[in-house]
Amino acid sequence: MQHRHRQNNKARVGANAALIVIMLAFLGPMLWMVTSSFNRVAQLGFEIPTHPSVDNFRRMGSWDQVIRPLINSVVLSVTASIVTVVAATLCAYPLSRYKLRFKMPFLYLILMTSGLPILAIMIPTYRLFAKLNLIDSRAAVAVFMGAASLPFAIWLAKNFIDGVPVSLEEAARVDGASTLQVITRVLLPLIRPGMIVLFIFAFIGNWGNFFVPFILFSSSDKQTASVSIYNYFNSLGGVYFGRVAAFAIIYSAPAVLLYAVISRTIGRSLSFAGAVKE
Amino acid sequence: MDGVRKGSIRRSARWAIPMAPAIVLLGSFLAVPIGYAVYLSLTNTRLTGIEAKEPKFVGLDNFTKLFGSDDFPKAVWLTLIFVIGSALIGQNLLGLALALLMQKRGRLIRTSVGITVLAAYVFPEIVPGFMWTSFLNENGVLNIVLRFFHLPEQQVLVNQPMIGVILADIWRATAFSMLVYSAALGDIPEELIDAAEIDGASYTRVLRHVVAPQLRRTAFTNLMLITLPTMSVFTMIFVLTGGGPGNESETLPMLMYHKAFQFGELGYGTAISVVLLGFGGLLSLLYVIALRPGKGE
Repeated sequence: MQHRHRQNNKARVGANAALIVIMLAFLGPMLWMVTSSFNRVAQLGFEIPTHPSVDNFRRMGSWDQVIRPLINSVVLSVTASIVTVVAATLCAYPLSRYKLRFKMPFLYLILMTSGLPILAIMIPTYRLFAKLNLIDSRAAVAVFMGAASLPFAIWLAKNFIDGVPVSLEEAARVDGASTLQVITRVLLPLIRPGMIVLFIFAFIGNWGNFFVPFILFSSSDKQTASVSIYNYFNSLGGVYFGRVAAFAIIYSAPAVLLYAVISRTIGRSLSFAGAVKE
Repeated sequence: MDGVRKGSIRRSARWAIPMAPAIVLLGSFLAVPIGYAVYLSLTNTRLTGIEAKEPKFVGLDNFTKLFGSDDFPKAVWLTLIFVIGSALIGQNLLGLALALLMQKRGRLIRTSVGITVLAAYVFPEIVPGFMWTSFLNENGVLNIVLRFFHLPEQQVLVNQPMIGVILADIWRATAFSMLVYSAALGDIPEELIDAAEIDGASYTRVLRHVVAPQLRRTAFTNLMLITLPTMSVFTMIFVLTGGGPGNESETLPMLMYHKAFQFGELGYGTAISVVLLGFGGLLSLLYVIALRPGKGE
């Protein structure tokens, strides 16, 4: 017994040590962004600021470089995510509630589509947008991005709706409620948390998306923060790396904070991802 | 008769109306571009010039040219290395290791490790590119650490660009595998493990005979879920190396981008897209077949 105890202790210390090493390795690449954002003379190399200041945050860059791209990102991501949430929830309701002959094939098709690399349809999409004069159209790009997140969103939405017992709707119907009333008074309040998670999930994806706006916007006043920050990082001399780092922190903040809000739910929905349920 | 038809129309409308927006969106923004990709890949369309306005149908010329080029086999090879190195080995094993190590550890260490690994996953995809550009820089954190331990300095992005982009992608994406394996481990009944331990089984034996069989299906699912996104990684490689030096880290997505948007050969670039879509479709199909209800569990 004594022996076994010591073994367990050793294993515990070993596991903790391994975890701390892995954690340090994960922290390593993040250090530069933090230290540089407080360093007025930051370079690409790592250095601890001798005179830390928040100057970089005050002078992150011009309106064209920072503020307008951030506004563009907010508008684009919110619009695209609304498109996703509304279309996915509407689509998921019949899939969850009705007996439909094509249900399983449709769900499999959706599951397959959710794996397809969006990257691989960007050249034809670019060409189609160019032909239809939609390059630089915020609305068209937002709808495209909304559609691109749909497959996974439909899947998540179906799981949320499956989680709401049909009996509640039936009870309301027995009490004489119309379909519309059942949906607005009974169903919506119950799936609202799910829809919020779905929205945040879609928003984080759209907020971080680089390739789609990079390809589908050509004029700089439409450009999103992801692309603007890339140009900023690549075009400037070392003198301004601190400002880019500050911009990167501000740009990352919404995604990180929103993820923290939904992380519990997403952890749970990941286990859904494996199973197809009728 | 009329009543029956009306009834069936009404019944169809019940699903058709709410599902219509999603189906229209998926059709016009996913199905149409996929079909159009196949068409474009059979033409000599260019970004600018006469072939931009009046492209000609060239049959399978783009594919013959692609398969006969030196770039393509190299890009396929590098993509394979990238997927094996980053997804199959890196993210998968590190994710599993993290999930196993974090079991039964104190709350403090579990939370701090979990948050750190997740943070890497949550940054908007362009930002890790900057972080790793600096991290692997000659005066970056990696070389400072190497110097501290009196180890030789490394110019990873110049000399071993594939190792650089693979490490960066492992760093960025491991959290997903960690979550998947943690969830699966959480589903294994504690009594099963306790019973084995009381019987005096060592940790390795518990792992092999109790945990591993339960994780087999999870491992398969996880590999399927991470392979496709890893295959189509663009931004990280684009920022870190741009496919270079030369074409030493030019995976299929990078090759596609270069051909289409730098050399302006949209038709030729789309042939690479079609290859990517083919791989992607095949893997997705395998995944869906494997997950059919009644199979496995």
